[in-house]
Amino acid sequence: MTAREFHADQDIVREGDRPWQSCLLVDGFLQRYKMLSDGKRQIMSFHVPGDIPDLENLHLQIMDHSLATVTASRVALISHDALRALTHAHPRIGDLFWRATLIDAAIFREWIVNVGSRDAHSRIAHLICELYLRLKAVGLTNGYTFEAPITQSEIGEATGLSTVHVNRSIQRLRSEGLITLEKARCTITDWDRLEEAATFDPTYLHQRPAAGDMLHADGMSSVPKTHPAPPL
Amino acid sequence: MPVYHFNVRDGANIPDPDATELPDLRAARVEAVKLAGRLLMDEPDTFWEGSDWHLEVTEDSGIALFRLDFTATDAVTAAL
Repeated sequence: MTAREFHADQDIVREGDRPWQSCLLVDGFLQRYKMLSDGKRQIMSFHVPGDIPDLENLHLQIMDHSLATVTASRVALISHDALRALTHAHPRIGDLFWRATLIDAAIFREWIVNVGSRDAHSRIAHLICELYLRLKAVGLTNGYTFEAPITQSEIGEATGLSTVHVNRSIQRLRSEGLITLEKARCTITDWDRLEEAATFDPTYLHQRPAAGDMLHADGMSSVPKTHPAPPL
Repeated sequence: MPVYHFNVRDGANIPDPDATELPDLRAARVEAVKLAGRLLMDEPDTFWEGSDWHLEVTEDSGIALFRLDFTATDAVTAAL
C-alpha cells in the first residue's frame, strides 16, 4: 500500500486506463465522471473518506469512466495482487468488498431517479441529504454541519443542471430555512423538511441493518410487512 | 469573466442575488434559454397561474441586457 497526495481537480485514473491498483480515499473528496464529446462533463458520483471507488477494477479490466479529486486529497493505493491475496485468504473480506460495490450501484440507481425524475430543487436537496449521511457514517460531520468542497458548477454537473439553476435552487433552499451554506460549509437547519423536499429515503445507502429486519436462526432475514397487501 | 444576473418574474420569483460568471453575452443568452426551459418544466403551474412570465438578464451593475417572455394565448376569445 502506498500513500499519494493529489491536488484539487486531478485525475487519479482515466477512462480507458487499465489500472493494476485500487485507491482508498483517506482524506478529501473524489468524483467519478465522464467527458462528453461536446466538452461537457457528467459527474456520476462523489466519494467520501473510507470509499474505494475503483474496487470494481479488480474484476473489470478497463476503466469506463474517470476518477478524479474534487479537492486536494490523500489516497492509499493498493495493488490488485494484494487485494486478491487478501480476499483469497479472508473470503469474508471479499464479501464486504462485494457489498461495497453493490451499495455503489444502489447509489447510482438513486442518482438515475434524481436526474430523471426530480425537479431541480429536489435534486439538490437530495444530494445534500446523501452527502450529509455518508460523511456522518465516517465521523466527518459536526451536528448537522459538514464540509462539502464542491463548486456550484460541479453540483450542476452531478445533477444535470446549469450553474445558474443550481444557484437559484440553493437560494431557495436557504430562503426556505432548510440549509445554510457558507463557502464549503453546509449546515442543514431543518433535516425533516429537507428530506421531504428531496423525497429522500436513506434505505438505498444501506448504512445499517434496516430497522425491523429480523434474522432467523437459519440466517434468513425477513422484514415484517408494514404495508397492506395490494387488493386482488 | 463578466457577471450576469438571471431574474425570473413569475409571481413567485426569487431575484438572483448571487450572480453567475459567464464568458460572454452569447453564453448568457444560451444559459437564459436553458434556465427558462428548465424552470417552466419544473413549475408549469406557476406559469399558468401567473399573469406574466419573463426572464430578464442584467449585468452586474443592474443594466438590463435582454429579456425572454413566455405567454400563452387562448384560441377562444371574447363572447361565445
